[in-house]
Amino acid sequence: MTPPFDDDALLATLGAALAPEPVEPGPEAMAALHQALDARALDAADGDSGVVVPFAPPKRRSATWAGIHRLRHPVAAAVAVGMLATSGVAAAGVATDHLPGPTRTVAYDLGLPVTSPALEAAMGTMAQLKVALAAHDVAQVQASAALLRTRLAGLSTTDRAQIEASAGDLLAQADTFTEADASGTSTGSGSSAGTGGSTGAGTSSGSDTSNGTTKGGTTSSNGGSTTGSGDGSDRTTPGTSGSSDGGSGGTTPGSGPTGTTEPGDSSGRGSTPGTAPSTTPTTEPGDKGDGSGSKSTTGTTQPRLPE
Amino acid sequence: MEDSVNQDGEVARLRAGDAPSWETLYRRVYPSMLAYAERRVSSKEEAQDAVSEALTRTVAGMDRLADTGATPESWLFGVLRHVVLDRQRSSYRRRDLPVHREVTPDGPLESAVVGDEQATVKAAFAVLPDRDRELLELRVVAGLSSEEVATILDMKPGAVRTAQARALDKLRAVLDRSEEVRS
Repeated sequence: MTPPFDDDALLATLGAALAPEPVEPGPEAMAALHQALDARALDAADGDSGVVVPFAPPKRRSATWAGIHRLRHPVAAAVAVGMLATSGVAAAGVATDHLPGPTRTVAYDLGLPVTSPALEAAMGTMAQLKVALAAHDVAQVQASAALLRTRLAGLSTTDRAQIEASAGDLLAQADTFTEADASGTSTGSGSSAGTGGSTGAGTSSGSDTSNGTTKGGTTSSNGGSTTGSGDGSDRTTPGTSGSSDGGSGGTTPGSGPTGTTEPGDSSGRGSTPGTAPSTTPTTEPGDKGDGSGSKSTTGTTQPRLPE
Repeated sequence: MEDSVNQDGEVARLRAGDAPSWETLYRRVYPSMLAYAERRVSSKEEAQDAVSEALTRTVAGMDRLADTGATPESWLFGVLRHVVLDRQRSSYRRRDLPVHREVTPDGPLESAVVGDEQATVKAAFAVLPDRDRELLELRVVAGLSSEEVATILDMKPGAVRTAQARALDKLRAVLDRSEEVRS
């Protein structure tokens, strides 16, 4: 034969020589086509336009469980599971800030984001104080308040700033509660028989201060030339249950306040400088009046946080 | 222009997953795809599997069909080429490569001498290098343009045309040689 020299003729001859046989795709091939189309349609319905995987891959264990499953020794497997569990608990504890004291201390020292142990303790004391206030437990209120003041004093500036306001309010409530309680249980009533000077005997009765607002003492004297009575002082202090009683009436210069009566006070009518019992600034909260005309004061009217 | 519109419509239907359109396309290109695969894998069954796999991959990637601007035929042949290459590599690892078509005096060339014209050309084609055979096959069997072949073979269209001319020269030389042997 004469070989074709023209490219187009040669291509045509080559095309005829290489022409494929007229075959049709078999049923398997058509089934594969429809399967691929169905899978593609399902995938499009799921909103994923990515590559179709005609056949679902076999399910596999997660890497963690597969690794544990491969462990041959039960002890090693138990240790692995324990480590996983404890690490999870620790992570959850740090995340929720619920940690026992020693753990918290270590975590705080390590720089983990947990509340400092001192602040946590102060907050715990605040909670105790709230509970005591709600339960009207005077002793517990006083103890918790004192402990809270101590804990506040030990806080850093940053920690204290976080609870300073709430702690101050809580301490104020505690002081108010304590004082109110004292007024209800230690109403002092004193009576002293004054010895009248020459003419009669004076009697003096004093009314107690209740919550720092009443200081009156009423005194009556009979026949006395001088009536001196009054509460021991006009000063009361929240948290103190200081009481004052009537002073002594009589002919002798009565006892009375030493010029410290505040306006509005209805007591302290001693007209002469008396020998009234001096105030005792060191009276502790809860001290009761002793009917002696003494008056306790502590000199503070507002709760103050420790410096 | 009209062909372009029709082609765009077909591409749109194919992208929509229209089963009849896919069947039509499949029936149209199946013979040439199978012939292309048969010449490159070890058995007819493996060639059929390769064609089926190529079609499945094409369906899966139909969303990208319009983005490339390729015709469905060229897209299918491009996928088929990759499938065949994968199978050839796998066969090489298994040491069951198809028989390499070496040019020997008693081989296809001898058959070409004694056969008719198409058989002569077919035998001469068989002795060409793989690269040349693939290029010519994509041009004359698959009926793809130089641009489409360039996309499949990752070449420039001009390089395809040059390579095609060079492959035809080789084929022509083989035919001349066979003619000399006959005479």
